[in-house]
Amino acid sequence: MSFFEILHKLILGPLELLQDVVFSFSMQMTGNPGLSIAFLSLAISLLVMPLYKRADAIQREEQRIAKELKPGIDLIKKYYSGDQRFMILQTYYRQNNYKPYYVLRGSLSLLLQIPFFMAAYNFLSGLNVLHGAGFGPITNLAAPDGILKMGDVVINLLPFLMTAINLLSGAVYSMGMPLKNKIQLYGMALVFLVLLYHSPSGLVLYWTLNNLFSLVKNLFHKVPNKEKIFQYGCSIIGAVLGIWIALHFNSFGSKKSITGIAIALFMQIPLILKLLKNKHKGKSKKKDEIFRIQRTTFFVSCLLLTVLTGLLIPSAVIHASPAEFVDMNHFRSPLVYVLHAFLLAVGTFLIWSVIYYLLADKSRRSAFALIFAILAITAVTNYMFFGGDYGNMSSEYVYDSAIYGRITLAQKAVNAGVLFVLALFLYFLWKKKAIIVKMVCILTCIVLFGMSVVNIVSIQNQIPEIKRLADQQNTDENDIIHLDKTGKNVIVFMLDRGIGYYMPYIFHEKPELRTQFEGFTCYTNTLSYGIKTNVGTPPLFGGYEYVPRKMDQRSDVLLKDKQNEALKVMPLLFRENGFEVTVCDPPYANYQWIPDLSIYDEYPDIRTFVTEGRFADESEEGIKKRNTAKERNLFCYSIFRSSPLVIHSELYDGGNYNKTDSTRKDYVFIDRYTILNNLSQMTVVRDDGENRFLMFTNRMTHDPISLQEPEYVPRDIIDNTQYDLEHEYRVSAEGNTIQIATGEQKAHYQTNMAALLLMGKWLDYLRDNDLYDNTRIIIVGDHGNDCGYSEMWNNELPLNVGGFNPLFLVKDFEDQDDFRFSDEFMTNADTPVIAFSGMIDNPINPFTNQQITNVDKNKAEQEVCISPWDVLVNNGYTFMDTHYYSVDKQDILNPANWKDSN
Amino acid sequence: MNLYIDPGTGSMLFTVAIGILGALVYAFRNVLIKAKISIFGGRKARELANDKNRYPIVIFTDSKRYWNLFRPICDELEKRKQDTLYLTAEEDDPALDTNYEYIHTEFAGKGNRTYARMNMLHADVVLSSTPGLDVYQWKRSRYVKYYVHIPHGIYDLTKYRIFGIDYYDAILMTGRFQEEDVRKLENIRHLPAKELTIVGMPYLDEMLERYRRESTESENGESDVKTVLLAPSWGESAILSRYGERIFDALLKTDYHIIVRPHPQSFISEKELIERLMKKYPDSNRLEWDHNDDNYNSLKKSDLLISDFSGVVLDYAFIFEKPVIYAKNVFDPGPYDAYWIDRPMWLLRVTEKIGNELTEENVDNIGEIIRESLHSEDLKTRREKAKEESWSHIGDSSTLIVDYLSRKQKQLNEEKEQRDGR
Repeated sequence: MSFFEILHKLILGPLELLQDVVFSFSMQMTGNPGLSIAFLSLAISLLVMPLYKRADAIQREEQRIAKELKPGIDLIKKYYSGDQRFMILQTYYRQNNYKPYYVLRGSLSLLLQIPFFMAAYNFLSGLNVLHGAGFGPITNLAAPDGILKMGDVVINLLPFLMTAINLLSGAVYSMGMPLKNKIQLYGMALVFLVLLYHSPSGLVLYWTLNNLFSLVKNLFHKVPNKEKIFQYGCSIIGAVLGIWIALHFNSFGSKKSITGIAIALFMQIPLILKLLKNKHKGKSKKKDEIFRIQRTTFFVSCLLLTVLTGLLIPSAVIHASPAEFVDMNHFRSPLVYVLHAFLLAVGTFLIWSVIYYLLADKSRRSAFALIFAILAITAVTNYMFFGGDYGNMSSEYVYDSAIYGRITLAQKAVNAGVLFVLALFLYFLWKKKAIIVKMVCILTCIVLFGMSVVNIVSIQNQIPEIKRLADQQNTDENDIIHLDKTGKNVIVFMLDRGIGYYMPYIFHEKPELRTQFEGFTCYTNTLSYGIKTNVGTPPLFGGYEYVPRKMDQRSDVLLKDKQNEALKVMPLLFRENGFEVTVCDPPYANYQWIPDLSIYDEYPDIRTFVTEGRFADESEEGIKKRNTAKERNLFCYSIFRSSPLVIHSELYDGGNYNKTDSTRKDYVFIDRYTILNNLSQMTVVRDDGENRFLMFTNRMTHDPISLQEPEYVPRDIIDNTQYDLEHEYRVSAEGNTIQIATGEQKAHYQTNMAALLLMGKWLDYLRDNDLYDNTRIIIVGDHGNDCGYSEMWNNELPLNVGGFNPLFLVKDFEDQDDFRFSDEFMTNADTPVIAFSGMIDNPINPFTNQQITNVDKNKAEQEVCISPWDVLVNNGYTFMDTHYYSVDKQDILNPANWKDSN
Repeated sequence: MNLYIDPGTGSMLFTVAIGILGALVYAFRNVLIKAKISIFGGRKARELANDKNRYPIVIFTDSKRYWNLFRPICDELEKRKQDTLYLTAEEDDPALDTNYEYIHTEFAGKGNRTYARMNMLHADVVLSSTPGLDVYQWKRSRYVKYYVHIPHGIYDLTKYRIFGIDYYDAILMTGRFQEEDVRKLENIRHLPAKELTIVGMPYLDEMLERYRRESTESENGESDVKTVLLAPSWGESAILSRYGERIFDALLKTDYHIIVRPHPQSFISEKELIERLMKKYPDSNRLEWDHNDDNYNSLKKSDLLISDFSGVVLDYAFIFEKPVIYAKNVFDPGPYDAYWIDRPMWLLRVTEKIGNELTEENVDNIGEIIRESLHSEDLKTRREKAKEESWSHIGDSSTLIVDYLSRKQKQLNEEKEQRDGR
């Protein structure tokens, strides 16, 4: 790391992280980048306000002194000149405890705002979610707004709005100031109009809102009693908000309620600080001593938080398994992650916290110190005694299974209770004997530091061995898919969340797909029995015996075991019938997120693989992205582990740690994308006449991201503005249209498209290697996704039926007909029957001894089920919290055909 | 990077930028002035700046003019065998020609060398009559324990340019009248209180001594014809410029003998005026022009002094105890410490008390005023009262000063030993 990188990490790092988290939070709450920008602007403006206030106060003081000194200065200037004048002025300043350098002191807190602006600029200009995201009349927040179009002339309106607010704000601010100042303000506003005119509208929106905030602030400045109004106003609004949230959210712990409560509490701070300000009127000497103790306590608390979140927790994480944190292909010491976490911790607790402390009034520093002492000690308590049992964690600080629901309400309550009592105890101790609080902090700090050193030394000692292993590593093994030129091949290829209703549009948009998918029938009227993988996959792999109703009827068998059965039905039957069987990524095997292949251990001849993670992005940029995310998230993990249990799942954020442009999501996607892209490389062409069965799952379509159109490939910066504008409505061969407007719709459509394009490439490969005609291919989704289409919405149930429509593409042996669509009713539970057809007569489910048929399909009404997705919670004998619906099979995408069947 | 801020902040930043620029210029000048001294100050100052060259007492003077002030002090120090360094900023200071045993004299060097020497000086006590310590280039040396100021006449300590005595530790006053102003200045400038000691004025002691001695030596009685000394100051508001021929004519109308002693500066600054007057009123038995360097003889010879506001009026009144007539000249206190004191300077007040004023109205009848002044008992009493108030310890000042310096030096060393001993 260079000096500037370190400086950047220390000063800007915490701010960028904060902005990222704030933006991510509001994205998760509103789903709207525009609103999130507004929220970010408000939050940052509030955060900068104390700095601004302080700058204002200091500058006023400067002005007062300058005014006081002016007659003297004028006198001296009148009578003296040259060096003599200078030296006399110097003495005059000295006698009045004034130095021209003090201007710098006044400007310090102002200059401190610059990092905030820099961080915001960096953050917003590199934000991927803004690409293609609209807000009101703005169509793309990542490009200039171009709202006004007059013939060929396109005018960006937002910069003008910004300037108008700017001018107004300036007019209010400079009321009663000399003309010179006014001209200066207006001039500056116009300069920035020019500077920002061509900037992305998201950025301009941010500054516009900042200016709006500044306008409100300047207006407010003119109000008498503004301090009181502000303090009590904040408190009352906060209280109302808190009560409203308490009444409206029954599930406490959701992102919205947590954020709301946090804001409600935050808004009490001004009043609390005011109330705390007027206390402590002791004897001045004793007061001085208390102040010194409190100041030391503050600094020690900051140090303690730094050691805890920057050294101890990070080093403990790495220490648990240092090898995991080493990219075997690109070796670097795992301690680098600790260094990054440490720098962020220093920036947060030893730089920014200290800056705010030093800028606070002396009278408020006591409250500051107390709050930090409580924070530090409760953080240590949280880390040491609570929330350590989330199971196995990956090197990306992601637990094997979601943490949501792993902590019971009772545990949360106990934790909150302990913290409350501890805080109360510290408060009283603070009042009676602050020195004890200080000593506790110092001792804890020393102990934690010692523990950190032990961890770090131990990690350091393991590095040579890890390096040796890394040097030996050879990861290249592509011998996964076996297909035979002369035998028969059956392939069941599951695309998680592959969406059925997009298929007509995808195949129309890319006609070359119709050639590649020669022989395939695309069934558009296909039903899945659930909208989540835990409900959707059992019928797909096991057939109609595993639809939710039937699953629940067998209430003596655990869901997990039924899932495992379903995953084994086809492999076992094909194996019995002499097929060589390969299984890749069987979803929820043993109800594990990362498939537990040991369910096939009884049948060693079944070839099993987990392909995920096999093709991680090895480009320099890919590695850097991964590392950056891991560096950032380690500190976030520290914060998460030091925080109360109540907010754990919010901070953990499914392992994303509230990263807006989650590169984790990106590189998880890229990993899955690369698997599909590498299908040909993974395929080994055999010619020994053996029949072969492949059961393959890929989850790329499950976590879609934006892709670059019209190639539908991942890019760092996506700009689809023009293409999306021209293709807002995709068209099918029949002339039907579907709108691709929201981010969700775009990402899903693009990802499904990309999956088919990659599959098409593989089909070409099969064709080129004489593997196409003798292969039966079923490409199927376990469920669809509603993507918010109102045309699929049944308002009475209420239910969006799009989630029950998976893609379903089938090609039989020797089928050389053109690609075609069929509206024949199908379900993804048809998969086994189609797979066995002509290959295995009378297939019998080895677990239930029932014949595998699709007769249930003939029922006029089909029953589907909604049940929670998380197998960590939903893992009893029957599905929990089920809600059944039935559908008339004639047209499952018509919401009118659906009804409640609970 | 494209940085944008709202107008309020922007304007503040603008102010800040200007402030920073100002501060930079300020810092730069500060460095420049210090650099001038340290670069041009010379090697000598640095070589001498060590404890081996430390003197218990150092006398510093910026001009040879004050030798008459310091000589009696040096004599007393020599008498007591007190090691002392006499540092002067002028190469032709007569002190440099003396042969004291215990008083070491040194020319501190020209210009910045003097400052360098002084700013790095090692000494216990420094006595000086130079105002502006620690304001101009002459800074307090880290190696000097105590700075003592002594005025070179009887005058207000506020007559110096602004901040003249602020950074001295102690002042040796001529009389108690000086105290109030010093305290007032300390008060308004939040300065630590200075040690104030009344010691009198050595050079006046000497002059008085000489006058007394010479008076007894040549007891020639009073002559019938009284002598009037016209010893004006110079400048546009001084007597010669203002009254010119008028005062000469008026004086010549009287029976008095007239001595005219222009200010030396007049021969430089207002040469035409002087030449005109000298030509028009040449030396005669009624009038003589005095060009001597020393004013003593004229002062002694005359019976009455006509002058502008200046120290000589007081010297004349106090030493020779003779009446004075003064002309008020325009005085602008702006550049002086006097400006910060909310009443007229003592010198003005006292002059008004002890003499008659020469004005536009009475200049033509000056004979009348002279006569009145020569015979006024009231003015005589006032002169005595003013003398008592402003000039203490007559005849003892050198002893007292040296007493003070020795005591202070001893005390400082004791304090140091106490501190070091602990």
